Amino acid sequence: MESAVKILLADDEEIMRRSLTEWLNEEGYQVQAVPNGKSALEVIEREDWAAFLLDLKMPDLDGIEVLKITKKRKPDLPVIIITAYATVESAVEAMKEGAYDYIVKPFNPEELSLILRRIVEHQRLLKENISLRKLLTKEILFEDIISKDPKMRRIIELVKTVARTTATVLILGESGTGKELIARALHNTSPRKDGPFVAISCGALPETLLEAELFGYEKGAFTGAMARTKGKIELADGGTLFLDDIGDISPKTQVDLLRFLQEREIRRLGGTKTIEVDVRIITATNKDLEAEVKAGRYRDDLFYRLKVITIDLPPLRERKEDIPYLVDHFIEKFNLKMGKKILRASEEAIQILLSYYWPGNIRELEHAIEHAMVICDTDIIEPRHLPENLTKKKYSFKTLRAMERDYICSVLSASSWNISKAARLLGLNRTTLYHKIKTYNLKKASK
Amino acid sequence: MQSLLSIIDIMEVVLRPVRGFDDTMINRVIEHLERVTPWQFQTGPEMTDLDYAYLANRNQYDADSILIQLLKEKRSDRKVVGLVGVDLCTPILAFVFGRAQLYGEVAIVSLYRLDNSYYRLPVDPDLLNKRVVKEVIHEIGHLQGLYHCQNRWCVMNSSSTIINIDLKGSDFCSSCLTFLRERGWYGIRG
Repeated sequence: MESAVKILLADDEEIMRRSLTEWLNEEGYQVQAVPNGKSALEVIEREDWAAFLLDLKMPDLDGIEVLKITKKRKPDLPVIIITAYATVESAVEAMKEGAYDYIVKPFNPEELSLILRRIVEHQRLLKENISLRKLLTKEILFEDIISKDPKMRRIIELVKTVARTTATVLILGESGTGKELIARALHNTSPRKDGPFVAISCGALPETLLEAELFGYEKGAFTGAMARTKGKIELADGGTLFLDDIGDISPKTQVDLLRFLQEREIRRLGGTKTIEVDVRIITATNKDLEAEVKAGRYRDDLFYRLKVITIDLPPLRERKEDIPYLVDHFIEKFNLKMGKKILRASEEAIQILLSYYWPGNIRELEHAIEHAMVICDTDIIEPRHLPENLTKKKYSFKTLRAMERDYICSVLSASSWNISKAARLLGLNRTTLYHKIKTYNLKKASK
Repeated sequence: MQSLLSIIDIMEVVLRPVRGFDDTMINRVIEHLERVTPWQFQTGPEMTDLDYAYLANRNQYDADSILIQLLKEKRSDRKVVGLVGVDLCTPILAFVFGRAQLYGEVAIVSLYRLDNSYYRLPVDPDLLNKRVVKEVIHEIGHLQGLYHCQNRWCVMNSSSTIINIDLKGSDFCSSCLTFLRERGWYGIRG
């Protein structure tokens, strides 16, 4: 939900202050009401007011005087004069002094509503301008990460703290949980935010190409190296380098990367000169790196260098309370993109979304909502608009024991109950297989 | 095992029309309200005269005074919505279609400006019924703590003109619905 728009109200009549405050509250505004101009001037610079509703006739300091001082102190603050004693002269004077508008009490609710909406809309457009710039530059901040989940909120708080340091960060999480989003937010909140954010997916490139991409190369370093090219590490100098799928790099790249992390300098392929680079490293993977280290497939010295700070993002199925908020967010996003006016997802559709397993996490949810919005012909997303795999397939999970029983059964069946053959296929000895057949009470089907 | 009834939170609302209100109309409004919301509605005792709320200088009725009276006469935990035919106002607003205590117990809806005859248009009972239903749901939304919603199709969108009321639906948008559901005020408690 958006943060409330704050309005300052100055009126000497208590009943007017109360009545107007109540109405503005219903409209969703947050109001501070003060009984005179002096009190208003005391708080004028304390908050980021969207508008100032100012009564014209007040004892001591009248509205016009307060308006003049306000315009000197906060020239951009829209001041709306409200009065029960309207005269052409006072209206002209107020407008001359820079009032945004002038309305007469009691006023038509639509009148003030429109004025305030116009002001808020103007401010919204200014913010949208900033958002679009953020979108273009992928300038993600923590405020852009939607979550009510306590675990996720704790992660965001941790990441905010970590952002201020230069520590290497390892982000763990299943595919689609928003690892790159966290990495971008980390960069944009860090002292390096004005430096570059360079991202590369290590899993997508073969070893030699990844090496060239990371470290760069000199002209003629290999066939096709037509010109000297800077690598991603060098391009990220002064900023952040995000290495996604870090669990998928080859043993040779692991050594190269470790050397860079130790020495903080690189040498381009085919080059002789060492180049010092000041870069913060953030890595991410959906693999269990600890298990990879234990299995001897991943260097433990590199692993410990990467995991100075580890952030473990929960899968969507473990933060289901976020689903309705994410659905709203995606509806809003695609309404804007597709020019549609879809209101919400129906209760039945939300129930389906809540009961699904989401192996592809937030990315899969986003695609599901995009799919639904493309085919939705009403203003509410119904179950029939959702992708078929969500509505038709019921996800039921078997226990490991049931899985083993079914698998042994299918192998026995495929080997025509030849125990030696089945035991070989299952990688068991005959005694163990006989024991399992007995335990699971498996019987050869009669023909 | 928890019984189904114990996890379903059905909110009950008492509608209190002012004396002389057409029973058929009230029944149609209740039938319509129960069709579009999960809440249950009942007719309560009629409101007697509203002279205490009359403002001679404005030739209108003070909505807040009527709310205070409804609160004084409240006899149960159920939310109360008064239905009146007079023109309502507040000290600061020239008129209101309805009024409610935010996070409160009592609300009021006026049919005065919801009726086509106010705009010198042909009387349309179906349209009036729809407008009353939207306004009752809107005011109950305020009683539950909902503010006006920016979504123009949401029933909680501000009702400052009759066009606003006709444009919006009688449904809550997903944000308002989530707010109500989280508090167990719309269907099954989460």
